[in-house]
Amino acid sequence: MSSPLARDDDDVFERLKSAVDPAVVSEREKAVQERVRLQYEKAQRRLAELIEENSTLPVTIADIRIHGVKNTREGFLHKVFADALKEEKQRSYTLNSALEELQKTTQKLHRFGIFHPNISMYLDQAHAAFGDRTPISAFISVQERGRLQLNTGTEVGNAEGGGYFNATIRNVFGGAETLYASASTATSTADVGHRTRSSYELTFATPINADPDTVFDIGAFRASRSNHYFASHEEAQQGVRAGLRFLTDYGSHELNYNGVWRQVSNLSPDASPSVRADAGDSVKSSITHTLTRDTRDSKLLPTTGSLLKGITELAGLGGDVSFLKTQVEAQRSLPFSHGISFSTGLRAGVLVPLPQGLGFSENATPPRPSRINDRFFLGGATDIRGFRENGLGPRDGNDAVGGDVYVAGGASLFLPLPRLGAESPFRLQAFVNGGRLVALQQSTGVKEGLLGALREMGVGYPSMAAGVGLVYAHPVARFELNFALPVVKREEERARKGLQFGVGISFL
Amino acid sequence: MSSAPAPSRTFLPIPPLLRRVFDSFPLKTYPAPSLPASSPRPSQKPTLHIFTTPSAATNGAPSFDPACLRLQTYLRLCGLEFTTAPASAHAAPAGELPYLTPAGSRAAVPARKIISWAQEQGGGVHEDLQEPQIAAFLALVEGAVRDAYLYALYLEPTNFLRLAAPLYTRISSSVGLVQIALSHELRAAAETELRKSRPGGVIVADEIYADAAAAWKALDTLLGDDEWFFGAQQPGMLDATVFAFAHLVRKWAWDETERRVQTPLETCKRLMAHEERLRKRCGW
Repeated sequence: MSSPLARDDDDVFERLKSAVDPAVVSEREKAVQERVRLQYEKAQRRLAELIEENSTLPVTIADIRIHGVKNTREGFLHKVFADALKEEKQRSYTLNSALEELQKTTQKLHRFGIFHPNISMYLDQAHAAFGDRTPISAFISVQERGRLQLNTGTEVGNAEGGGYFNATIRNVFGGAETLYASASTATSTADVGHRTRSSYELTFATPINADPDTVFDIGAFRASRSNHYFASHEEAQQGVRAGLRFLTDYGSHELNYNGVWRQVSNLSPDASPSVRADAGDSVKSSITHTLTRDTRDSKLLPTTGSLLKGITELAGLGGDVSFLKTQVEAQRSLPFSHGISFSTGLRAGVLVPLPQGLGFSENATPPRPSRINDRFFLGGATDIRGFRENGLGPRDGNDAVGGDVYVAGGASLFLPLPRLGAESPFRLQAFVNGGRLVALQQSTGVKEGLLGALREMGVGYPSMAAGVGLVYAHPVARFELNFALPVVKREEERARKGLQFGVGISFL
Repeated sequence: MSSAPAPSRTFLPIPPLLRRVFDSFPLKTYPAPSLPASSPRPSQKPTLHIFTTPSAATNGAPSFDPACLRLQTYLRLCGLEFTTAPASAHAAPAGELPYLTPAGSRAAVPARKIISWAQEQGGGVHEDLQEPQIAAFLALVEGAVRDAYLYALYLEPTNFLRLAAPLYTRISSSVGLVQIALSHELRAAAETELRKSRPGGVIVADEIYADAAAAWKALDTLLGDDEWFFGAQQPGMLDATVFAFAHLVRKWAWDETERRVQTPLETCKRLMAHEERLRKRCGW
């Protein structure tokens, strides 16, 4: 050993008396650090051995102590740990299973988003006596995140300018509740025409029963969006919403109520009669259920796994519009060798008009045809490439007026770029995508209308496009630059031959 | 004129062969998808979009809004065949009802162009609305009479709650909260409109009603014992405008304590007879 401290002991005092050589000092420090590291490693090893040796040791969690809690309620934390301290679990804990349980609980703490991610845990033997089981104490140390978070900024893009303001108050009542307020505006004058949008939102969210996966939220919002570039109008919305998110074996669920006052207004002088007919006020009062089962490795550029999603909306609990709107989405990705992967997706939806008041009220009227702001739209760089945004389906003059039934499907082959390889977020893609969007026709009844729409769907090949392009999966959004050629289209449908740029978070 | 195609503005020259390949796409084109059920089908007759209820629209009954009723009456007097349809003010060009869609057309004719549209269609009334006397009396109705009408319907509290608010907001939404919000907007708009037209922007009920009473008197004198204004053979724009206000002022079930807009008109017997005469002529 070359360390000076490892010399013979009788030399030590002599050495201390002599002048201190800086080189020796630094060497000493190094040695101390080295020793500490060795000790730590030894301790860790010893701990691992201990746990290994005692993994089946029957234990009982005597107490859990949490350090660093300032704003979080004790009652809330009690609930978080209640599961780990359940009597039947306490009776069957081994050291190993107790550790696992505690780790699961600290992960739960993470998910509330009110603590910094550096949550640490120590175990010790407790002094309390629990019969023949060894009592252990858990010390958990946390650091609460700041209560108030403000974000503000301006965004200036190519032809877009805007600003936003977000405020979040975390842990409002000490039970991981969140109060979120935001305001944003943006204006753009791209080649697609003048677009403006603004939105204001206030939401309060709280976990139910201290479970980070079961969240109730309630809020109010106000937004306006210009749809001039595809349908010659603006839509303003204001309303209230309440929702519940929870997990089951089938996937993650979202149950939402929405009460929205919509206003279709500020029509262009050359707006089509279809848009004029739907201009004005309408109130939608609806319940929406969303089920998502997502096993994809990445949402933006999946290479393996699948997504299944079902959205069902029932509108007409009061309000001016009554309908049942169902959409399903399925996506499957398969990895091949050399970083090559294949993705295929299918989306479909149907909107069924229902009797006003859903037939419950006395003065129920027959089903009214759907409105432009309830119908589906299809086409654009994020769903059917090779077509302009909302370029598929029925059009009245210059306006896309949407449809009541749609199917869209696509398949993409992703190849890693030479040199960059499969680890980089860049891919070359070759794709084929297509779909149909049709409207219910004026007819005697809804059933006949639906059958007629389905029949129309079956006429000819769906509108389709194929092409190749470059994909960049940025952590926030996916960017695509494609060269596409429409293969099959309908008259009036707006195809886009050549280069097309797309930004989005959900691609077909 | 050259027969060569215009040079494309792409920065890369595309070889003719490639261009031919490009131009062959799409390989297959099907007929256009049909429009949704709510899209209006091209109609055989022109359609006048007005404030009205769906049932009144099918009967061609008079609108409850003076600006709409005025042009509805005028088109009837022109002897033009048309249908009426209920509409939201948001649907109208420039946000002002009425508007008109000509037969078989997808375009909208805004309110201010309906008169010239009717004349192009060979409508029966021939008159020069710029003629000073007609213009002056039209301004009198659109000023003094309209102000009193606005005040009586929107600013008199009981009238507003019982008459204007239900009719104007129920056609927009069936939801009570929205109706309340819209009725506030409606009232504020009427007040702004009144402030614009009253001298100094001051709204004094007595003055407004007195001005309207004087206007009715003047119109009654102008009409005299003639059948139509200015002794014309056929009723014209002034007849339609006076009728629109006189008809609604007579028709509304004004509140007993807030009917100061109605009483002065009832003393003008010749105007009352004119209103009845024109109503019969329109078949209402």
